[in-house]
Amino acid sequence: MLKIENLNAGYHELHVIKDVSLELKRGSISVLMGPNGAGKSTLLKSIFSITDIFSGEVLFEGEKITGLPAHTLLQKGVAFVSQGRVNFGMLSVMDNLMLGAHHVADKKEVKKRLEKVYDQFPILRERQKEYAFSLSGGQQQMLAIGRALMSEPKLLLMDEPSLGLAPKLVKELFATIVDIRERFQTTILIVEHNLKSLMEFADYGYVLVQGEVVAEDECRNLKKSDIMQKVFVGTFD
Amino acid sequence: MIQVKDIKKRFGGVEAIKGSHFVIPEKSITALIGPNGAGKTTLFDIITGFITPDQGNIFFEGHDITKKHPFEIANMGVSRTFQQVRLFKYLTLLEHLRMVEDNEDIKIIRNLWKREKVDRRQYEDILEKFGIERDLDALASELSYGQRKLLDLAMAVRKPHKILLLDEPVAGVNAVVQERIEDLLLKMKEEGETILLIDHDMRFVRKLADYVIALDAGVVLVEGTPEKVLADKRVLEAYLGE
Repeated sequence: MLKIENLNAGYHELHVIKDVSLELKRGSISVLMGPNGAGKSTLLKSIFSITDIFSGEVLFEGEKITGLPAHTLLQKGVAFVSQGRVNFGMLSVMDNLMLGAHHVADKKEVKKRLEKVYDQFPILRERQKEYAFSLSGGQQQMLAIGRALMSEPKLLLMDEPSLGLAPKLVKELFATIVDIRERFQTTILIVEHNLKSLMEFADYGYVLVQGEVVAEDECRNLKKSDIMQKVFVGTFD
Repeated sequence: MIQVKDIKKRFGGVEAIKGSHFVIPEKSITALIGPNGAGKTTLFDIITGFITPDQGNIFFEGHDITKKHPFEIANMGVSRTFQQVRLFKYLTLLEHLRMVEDNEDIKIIRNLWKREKVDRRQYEDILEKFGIERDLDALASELSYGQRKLLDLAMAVRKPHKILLLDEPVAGVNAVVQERIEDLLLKMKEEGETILLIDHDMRFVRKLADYVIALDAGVVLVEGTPEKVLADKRVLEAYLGE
């Protein structure tokens, strides 16, 4: 459903992503892993066209989407949850969610989606009239994910959703992500550091080092692979 | 220099630190590693007085600082950075550097306003040393993420201190900035700095650290040289599962 072919991308003259090719299966949960500065977030952002793309293609359901503006991508069914639980703090929880479906004209449809998100995250229904800034860290992450879900994405990109959450919440979050896949019928690509918990839930993993994919496999195989262990103990050249 | 003795800390039902015990040696770089939720940042917060432990003590140069306030600990010479860089959006780079150069709180304000007497050259040298290619009068809000991270580090170093605590100094920065930070830290070590840092990047840890303490689920799993700790199976299991 998503195919990346020989992608080279970065920021101005800084070349971060080097000739990356990968293909995501529909309905899968895949993880991008690797040390700091490997280009994990940059790759995610490149799919969402918020980096400079030097060459290569991104194909979504067979259609070329390379470099299309973010709002067009959202309409096509790609949503991005950025790092750091970014919400509009001075807007209510509900208004934050509504922004995720601003491109949908049919009010009934928007209402239906809102209910679906509230069913996924009941605490957001309870606190729908409160300011987003007043939510706890975990709830703010739910809100950021909920806003992305309002666009009913076919592909959901998430950049370190567990960052700064307590260990108990992290496990809950990953279980929620699996639940989201079922309920929203979406394909998910996640950048994460928190691999121990996530690899229990995810299907497939890609290891990035200095902008290149150095290993990919099903998570259960990847965990045991030599190359993965080398990357993690810092002896991979 | 810093001794962490039998520290325990519980948040509601979660036991974040379960009796941690270690010593940070002087004039060297010690790395605190461990998966998310291992308790690394909680330990930083306990050492710097942001969190009071339920049990145990923190000694800094032989003094018990367990119950001291963050500003008192900072004034004694413990300088730290946070995972998320927090700068004053509408203050300039010069103002940021001036703000931290005394440990007496009253001087912070005085330093901020006595601009006319400032020898700009020495501050420009700091920006150059840290690779921040911006004018001293630029606002912090104009900086890129990497530049903010560098300014944050420059401020922690500029503050009079005896030990530096750095929470993920290279997280989220590109390879160029990472290399610059590595060089700066190695140079500081040569100059006799004592540094305690948290990081996930084992290549970075291997390159910089003299001593590594691996935490998992609030306890010290193993400690020693980077070679010893990173070769220990338990460390890899803590990160990737069994």
